[in-house]
Amino acid sequence: MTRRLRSLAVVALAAAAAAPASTAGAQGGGDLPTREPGLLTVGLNLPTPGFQVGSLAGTRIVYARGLEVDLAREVARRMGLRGVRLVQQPTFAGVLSAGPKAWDVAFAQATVTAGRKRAVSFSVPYLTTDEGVLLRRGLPRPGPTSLADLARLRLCVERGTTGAAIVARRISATARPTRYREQTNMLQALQAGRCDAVILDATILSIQQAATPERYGELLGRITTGQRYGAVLQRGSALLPAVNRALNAVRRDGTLDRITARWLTVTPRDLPVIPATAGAGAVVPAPGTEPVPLP
Amino acid sequence: MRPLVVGARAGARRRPRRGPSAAPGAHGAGARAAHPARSVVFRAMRRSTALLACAAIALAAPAIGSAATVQFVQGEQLVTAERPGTTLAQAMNALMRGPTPAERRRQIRTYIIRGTKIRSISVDRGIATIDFSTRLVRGEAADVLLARLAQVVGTATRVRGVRSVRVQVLGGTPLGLFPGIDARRPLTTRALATPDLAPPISETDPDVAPTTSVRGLQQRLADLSYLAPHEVDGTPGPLTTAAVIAFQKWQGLQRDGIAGPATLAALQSAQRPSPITSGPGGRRIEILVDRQVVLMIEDNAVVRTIHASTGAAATPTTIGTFSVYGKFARWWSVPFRQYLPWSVAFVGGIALHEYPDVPVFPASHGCVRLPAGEAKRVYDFSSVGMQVRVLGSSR
Repeated sequence: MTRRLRSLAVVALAAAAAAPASTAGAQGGGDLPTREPGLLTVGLNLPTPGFQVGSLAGTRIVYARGLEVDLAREVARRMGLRGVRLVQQPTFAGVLSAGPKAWDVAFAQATVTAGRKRAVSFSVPYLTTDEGVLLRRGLPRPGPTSLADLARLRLCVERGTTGAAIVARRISATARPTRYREQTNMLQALQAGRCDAVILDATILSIQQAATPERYGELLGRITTGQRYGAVLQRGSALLPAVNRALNAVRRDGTLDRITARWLTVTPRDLPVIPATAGAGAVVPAPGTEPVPLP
Repeated sequence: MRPLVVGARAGARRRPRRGPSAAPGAHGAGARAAHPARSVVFRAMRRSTALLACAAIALAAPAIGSAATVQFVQGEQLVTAERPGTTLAQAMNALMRGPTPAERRRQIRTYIIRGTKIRSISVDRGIATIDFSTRLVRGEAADVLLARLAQVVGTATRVRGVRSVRVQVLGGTPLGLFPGIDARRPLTTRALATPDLAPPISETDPDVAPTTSVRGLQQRLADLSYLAPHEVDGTPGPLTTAAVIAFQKWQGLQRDGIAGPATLAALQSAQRPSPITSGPGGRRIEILVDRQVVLMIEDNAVVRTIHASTGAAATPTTIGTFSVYGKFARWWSVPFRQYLPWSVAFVGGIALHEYPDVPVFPASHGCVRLPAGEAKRVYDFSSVGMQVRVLGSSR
């Protein structure tokens, strides 16, 4: 409750500060209660190749590129702002935790879930993905073809991600996957052969595999979740309507598709759905592959 | 991985290249970077009067370490070229300037883009901090980015007093810009030369039932040197496909690996390939760049004809006559961070080696890629000192 009141107070203060310009409407960015007038302060959680990589000086990101960087710039432009100020949110958990933020909006491949909505506000989604399964190179043949086969392998997941939840809910309740705090370390373990397979967003895995195919084995397929990425804002942020308007505009005129095509060289939707058991057929979604409720 | 020294000739080193050039190179880093680096040296000297004398001797004594060694790439490995100068700034500026025309003719190249700027250089307790403009990380091809980083780290750590390098971009720490590399900590040559991949495993044939028609095809391919006699087993697989591709390449047929009507007709009348050049008796190898095949030759007769992929257009395999200087069962490519199994190296970083993907066209960094199975055979066939001839034209 206290938290709620505080955020309301912030909104009220921001609204008061912006009051003289408010008659201009939402078109001009000048009246938006951003942290820095005229600029959108964007939180990122570098690095995720394809989505956001860059150069970090202190907490300021002095150089960045990727799908979410292009998207953030476009959103700021559509909000009528001069540009973006990029700052690093050191942990993914920090993006999703309740409380005040050092940024106006964060882009960090954060899947919208009911649980997370209790702590932060999400924008309208900008990308839909499933989970993917990437194998290590040199896995003995015949390789896994079903979720049941996967349960017998050394699985690795990133802590707190949808992939981690998938292992318990869809693969095996008794499997004990190795859990990594950092995505980079998990993928290095896969390359070094310490993991047989990793379960992570299919979008992220397909970018990894396409960039350095000689470092990985096969991208086995996807586990349907239909999870959707949304931009994250402090819960109850007054900027949410403007961010949503901008994202909707970016989607409507095809800009979002253009940005996605620029960075996502592989379309995860083309991957086969991994059946629950062998023989169920790798391409046709088997019964019971409906999206799982996400944590 | 030990660096390979290619001994630069001093003559052409200073001449700046003008106008467009097909090869990647670097310009303009020199003047900007020299000044801050020099001031660092002076600052360091002022700070420590005790070391002043030693420093002065080091600066005034060109006899010891009078040349900076910079790292370029040839084939799949870093190679060293000597340049005048002893300081980190001199070495880095020489690296930014790229290889000389003479070095380029020997397929020695740089992955650092022309116009990459050094914004500042400093050294503190053996750790060099070098801040670059964003051109250092331009592009998204992993091999190019990794090779650039290896060149920078390799060059800097060869300067006396530099153990490791903190690479920066616009004054910040690169995160995710060099695929698979954690650049938050200072980097060393040793770290880059240490494999971070599981050892490679050659793919085995899938289980397929043998057939007599396949046996007939294999026997014919074996008679013509495209397959080893013991591989005639009636079972189709990657080796048979590679043998068909090698045959199609030699005959100038469409390279699809399928024994279709045109290929089967040609097989009826085909003759065993013969060496393109005459050479010494005993074992030698000819690499035919135009046909994309490798000939294993014994006493001037072809014993095997092998499907291969040589250097891509931007990184062609050097033409000439060489001799094998090293055999490495598992060669770790320092610039590209991958294993090259069954490497037979014949000049600088250029070798015949196994690779999981051998397309029907020139695709490598300058090496000669061979399919799994074939590479081990070439490795066993070869010995140090054996002649390897790379021919641009074989017709």
